[in-house]
Amino acid sequence: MAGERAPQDDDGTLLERIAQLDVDAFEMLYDRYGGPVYSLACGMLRDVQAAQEVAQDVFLGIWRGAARAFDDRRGNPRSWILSLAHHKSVDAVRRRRRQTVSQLDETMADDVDIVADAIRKLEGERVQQALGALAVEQRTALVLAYYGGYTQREIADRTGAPLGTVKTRMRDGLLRLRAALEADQGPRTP
Amino acid sequence: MTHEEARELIPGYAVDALAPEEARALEEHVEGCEACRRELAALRDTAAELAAGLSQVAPPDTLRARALGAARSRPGRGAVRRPWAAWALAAAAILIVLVGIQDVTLQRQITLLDSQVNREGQLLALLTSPSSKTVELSGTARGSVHFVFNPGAHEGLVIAGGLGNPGPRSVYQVWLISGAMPSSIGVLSPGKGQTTILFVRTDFRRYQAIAVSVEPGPAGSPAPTTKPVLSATLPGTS
Repeated sequence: MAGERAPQDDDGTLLERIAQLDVDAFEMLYDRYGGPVYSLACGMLRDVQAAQEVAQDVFLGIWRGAARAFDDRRGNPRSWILSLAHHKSVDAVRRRRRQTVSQLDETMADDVDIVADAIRKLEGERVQQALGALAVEQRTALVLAYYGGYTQREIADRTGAPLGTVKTRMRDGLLRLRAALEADQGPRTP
Repeated sequence: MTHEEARELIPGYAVDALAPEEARALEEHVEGCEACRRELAALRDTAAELAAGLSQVAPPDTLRARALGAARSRPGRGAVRRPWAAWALAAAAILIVLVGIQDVTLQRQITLLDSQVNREGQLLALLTSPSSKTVELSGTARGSVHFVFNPGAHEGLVIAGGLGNPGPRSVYQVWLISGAMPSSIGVLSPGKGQTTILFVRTDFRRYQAIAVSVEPGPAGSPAPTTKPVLSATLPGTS
């Protein structure tokens, strides 16, 4: 095992090693992404217990077979891991929302809170500025979807906009965000 | 789905905001479309920046211990050899609700495997061990309740799925029976369509049967107050 200890292995190599059930590689991957994955789950769920469960689920999923399914044609490993984490966090948020559906008196005020809260919590100045540069409708659609875990249909229902409009706003918002971030300094590595 | 339709959906997919059927259709398209794959990859990079922009919180050490512990204890794929293990694993995969055993006035010999750490590893080890035995409980209640136990390891688990509502202020309570002496191993509080699991650690040689009865909730009873609705005899433990 000691011979395999190559701290500089890139993420793709680590995922390949994990696909061969290499526990050391899994440990290294955890040490790289445990923080970002947990932070995303915390940001979305606002509940450390639930966030831990999601993060554990993400890593066990990677260990159990997701690493084998990784396909570098679908993005770099970092983006892929964070998309797994996002997916699981969204599932958890929606599950919780279904469970609390009886006490549902959510209003538009909640949307405003989610948007404002998410933006306030952003530490990355780059992202904050790029989001701030979007039209408010685009920003709302994106933030409700990404940080709030709402579907396009739910966002349409909650904001009163037609579904097609929400789709367009989300699409244009994400494309503009990409352009802004790329113009800034290009994709970052962890 | 046409290429143009797929193109429109990719941003929503990258932020997990599509309806499930849209997401499935898009995945199918992307599988065979190089241009859409590249587009999705690029938008995932953008979405990742939304994640990375959040304030970064240090995860607790217990998370690291759990994740790595579970990986170490888990052999990977291919360990499932028996059909019941296959369904149990499938159930486990779709997020089972792991319910801790309520501390009713129980016999002391029965302790719960409460450590959250590595619970899943224990579950899998138990399910895949060649020395584990399994029984299916039968009776008047709806639903499927299996008991899987490894006599040598003194570990077992009750897997309950599809149990109906036990009635107002009632719960299902599970008992191991030694002669005429039932010992509670905990209560099942099934949600709709959920699978519930109870872990048990004890010397199973002392027991001849397992049973489920309906008892006052939420904590259950010190001893059964109603007739069992489900039961089974334990093989090879006498």
